[in-house]
Amino acid sequence: MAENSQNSSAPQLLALRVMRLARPKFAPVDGFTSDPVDPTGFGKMLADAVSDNSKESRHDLPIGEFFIAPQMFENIYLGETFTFYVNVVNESETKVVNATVKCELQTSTQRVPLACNIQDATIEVSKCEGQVISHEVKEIGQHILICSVNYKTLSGENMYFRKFFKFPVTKPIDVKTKFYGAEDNANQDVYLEAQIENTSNANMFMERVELEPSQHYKVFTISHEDEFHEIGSLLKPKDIRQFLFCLSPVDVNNTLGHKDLTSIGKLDMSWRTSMGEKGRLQTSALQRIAPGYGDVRLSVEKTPACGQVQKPFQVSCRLYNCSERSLDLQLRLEQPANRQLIFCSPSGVSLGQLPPSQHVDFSLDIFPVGVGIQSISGIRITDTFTKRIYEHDEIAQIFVS
Amino acid sequence: MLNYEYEDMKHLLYWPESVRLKATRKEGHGTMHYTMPGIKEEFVRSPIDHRFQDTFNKFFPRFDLDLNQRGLVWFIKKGLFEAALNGTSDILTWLGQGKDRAGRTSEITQIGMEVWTLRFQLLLNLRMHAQLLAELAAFEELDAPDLFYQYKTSDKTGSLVPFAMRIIHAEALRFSPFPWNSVLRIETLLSQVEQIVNIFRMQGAPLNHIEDWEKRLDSVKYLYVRVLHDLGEYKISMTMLGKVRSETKDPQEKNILTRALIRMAMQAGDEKAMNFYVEKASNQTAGSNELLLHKAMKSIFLGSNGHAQEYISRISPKECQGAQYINTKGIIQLYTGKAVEAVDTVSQIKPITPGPTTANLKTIAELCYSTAAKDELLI
Repeated sequence: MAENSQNSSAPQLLALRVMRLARPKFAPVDGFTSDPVDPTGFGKMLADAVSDNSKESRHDLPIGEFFIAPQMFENIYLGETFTFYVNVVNESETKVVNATVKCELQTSTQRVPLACNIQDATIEVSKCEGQVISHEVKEIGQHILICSVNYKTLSGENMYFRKFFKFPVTKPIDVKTKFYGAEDNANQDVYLEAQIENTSNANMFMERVELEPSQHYKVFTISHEDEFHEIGSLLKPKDIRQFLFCLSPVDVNNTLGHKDLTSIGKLDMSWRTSMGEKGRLQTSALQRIAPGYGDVRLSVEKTPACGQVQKPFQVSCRLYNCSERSLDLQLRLEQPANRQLIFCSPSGVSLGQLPPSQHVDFSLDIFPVGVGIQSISGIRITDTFTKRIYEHDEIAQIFVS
Repeated sequence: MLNYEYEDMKHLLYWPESVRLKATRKEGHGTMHYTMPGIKEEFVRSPIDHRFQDTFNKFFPRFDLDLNQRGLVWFIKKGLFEAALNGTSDILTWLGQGKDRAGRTSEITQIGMEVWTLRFQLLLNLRMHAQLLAELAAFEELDAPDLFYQYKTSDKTGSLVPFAMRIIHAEALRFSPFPWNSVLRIETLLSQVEQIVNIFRMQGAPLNHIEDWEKRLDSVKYLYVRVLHDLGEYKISMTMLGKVRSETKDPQEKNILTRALIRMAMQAGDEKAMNFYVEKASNQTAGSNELLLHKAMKSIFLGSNGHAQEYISRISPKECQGAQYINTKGIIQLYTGKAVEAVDTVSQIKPITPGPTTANLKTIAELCYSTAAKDELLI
């Protein structure tokens, strides 16, 4: 950490020491593989000498057995926890009393006081008082840890000094989202594709990538099986992984409420880096532009997938009033030009007054005359008040054999 | 020792004939020199602590293999690898393969090849990678005809290349500008050793001969795992070591590998793999001190230093005096806010030699000791 002290004029009796407690790592091992049945015996002798020196029992394996405390201030990222050990050491020949340490974290927007319980401590010669403090990092940019030390000398003189430790916080991941609307006359599903990029310089294991849906949606995660079953989901620096979620409205009959369907939910991501350093981030609420249904929305409630030629079938439809006024609606059926499917239901039927956010059900009898995949088209709904005609074509398909 | 009997070690010297050897005419055998090694002169001779200079002179006055070997053993056992390296320089010079001799003809002998192998192992351990690569280059792909016994004499077959040299030859490219080429060499070595194991099995060789080559096969697999891990291929190295672990029959080795896999997963940050192998280790060695130690490490991984403290306290210090236990205990004390106790703990590890425990001692003492007390501690 960049350090900057602001001492009072008198020489200080206490020294402040701060160490960032990132997780301890396993000390690197100089790999050495010898011939296990070396005819000369020198290989084993050398391996034993190397082990005696390093105290590691094996040098042919990729990892050692010894923890090593942090040797440098490593990068810290948004969503991680900043843990540090703050310690005041009495460097003088006399004891000091009423030693109090105050720690604050200054960011670009706020100054956060950190709980420190070194209060009114008496510190003997060469002794120290310290504490481990943790704080979840919630902002990016320059951070300054400000440690203030107050104490009294035996002669009763009040002493004070501060130290500043600067460190930057950057974004560990970048999230890009895309929506795919799969809404049609049969369902109102929305697909969310989230691309998560590791922008840090460390390997990252994504432990959780979940979409917390808004109250209007339920979510299904579409995931694939990992290639290595017993190994976690690794994201190397600059790697991008895609996650897909399918969102279905909780209330499939929601008609007017489609305006509320703009809020999809939040992506919640947690990960671990080396030695289990944990991070967690949540996006702000993801928004999408809801598809405009216009004043009315036609939903196909029931239709056969297959049918036989010259055997009539029935299609059940539901018509929603998505406008904010009552509609007086009339159903008209236009026989399609190719005449593969012929409507047998009467055209020009009144569907009656439909208040806002309500629906009306009706069914259509259809007589297939041509084989193949046939689309149902030609449904016309007329608003008798405004004379506006809503055209609904290709609302469903049926395979006629 | 360097001058072992060919007949005693014949099965260990077996190696299939290379394409280059097969391409030579029988009547021309022994007439050509293909391998012309020499010490690279641009590298300065390693310094020896002046306290040991007289001893060095005593062991290396002239070429006397027994005396020289005793010197090599003495220096290696003392951990004075620089002196041992200089010893190999002298022996190779006396064998006509010293400075300025690279590219010039000299006799390739079993002793010479063993000295070169020891030298390369020393260079590797002294991290003198540039010199290692430069001197190893003379041996090309270890397939020259004059590196086979049968090239010079009709009553012996096999390779003059010690297996340890093949291991270093495969790994050395890791320190070159093209580290991935090391993987290619290791894969070749792996398939060659597998082939030899199969040949021995098919020929109905004695069981101990087959076991010797199986041990060599395992050592190449470990090398592969280690190099892949160093190259950042975490997933493949984990999968490969996991496979070796499941195939190994020795329960003690299986435990060691399981714990290594736990540590590899921890180092990477892979909780899923860590839990997988902790469970395996629990099934294998429930309640052992090593497992408790790894459970303490797992608690640190999970950020639960209190639990780590609990696990480490279950290990009786009387039962476990190992440096690994003491060091882990010290680290847990540091992370639970007991830096002074951590220094007391880590300072129990004797002797203070360069390495992780000494680095920890310095780091923690820096945090909680006064400058004078710290200086006194580290003297």
